[in-house]
Amino acid sequence: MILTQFAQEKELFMYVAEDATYETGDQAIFKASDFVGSTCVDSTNTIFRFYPQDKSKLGIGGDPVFDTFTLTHTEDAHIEVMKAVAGAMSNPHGGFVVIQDDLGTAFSSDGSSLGAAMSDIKYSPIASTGTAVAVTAVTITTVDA
Amino acid sequence: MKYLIVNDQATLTSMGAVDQTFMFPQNRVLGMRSDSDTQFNFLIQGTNDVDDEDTLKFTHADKSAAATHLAERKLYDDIVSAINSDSKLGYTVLFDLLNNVKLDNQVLSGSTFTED
Repeated sequence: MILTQFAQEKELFMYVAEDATYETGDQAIFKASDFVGSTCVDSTNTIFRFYPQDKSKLGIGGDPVFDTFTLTHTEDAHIEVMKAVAGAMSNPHGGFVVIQDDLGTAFSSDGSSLGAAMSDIKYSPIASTGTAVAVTAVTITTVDA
Repeated sequence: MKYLIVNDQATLTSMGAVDQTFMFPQNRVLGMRSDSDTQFNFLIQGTNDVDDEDTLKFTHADKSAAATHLAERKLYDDIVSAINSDSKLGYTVLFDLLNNVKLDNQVLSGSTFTED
């Protein structure tokens, strides 16, 4: 069952696509106003948790099953990734932000792959080493329709 | 909405485990309370277990000493100011041991994050 609520005015939507080809991987949009928190998963993954859109998963009286996306990134770059996503989510004018889209490496003339990873996010280098930061994959869980 | 970030790891290669690096919205703050003469707990509504709380432990100078008895009170002010900050970046780092970022009246050593 889907939540019967609407996004607030000037909501910030974040878009992620899991795979190079849209027919293979899932795509999803997350609302910044549903954001709960973000933590490390391991040395190359950071998870972003959101209140679920399926209200049967809200876990009233208990714990919800969160909608999440997990970004796979340069080793030990959790802080830089969090800062960049926070910067995107905090835009008071709302809008549509591509966190990660089309991780393909080859252009496809049918439009199923644009041949390059795309993102509206610019990640700063790791502050203590200057190592460039990149996101190489995204995994979506529990978004339910 | 602004976001708050903490990191209690001082070594880059030790990053990546649970209870280390954390980002949360400013509206999930529950409160603060004393824990000892040199530490207090900053409580946040749980971000994994929402009917429990996540805990940031802030270390400060010894408030049992006359010369530093305002340490906890001053750090409360620092934190409230950070929570309400209109940072154009969209986030405020409360503390980060790796990059030696801290609030004015905070002692970095012993400042931690624990997720429930």
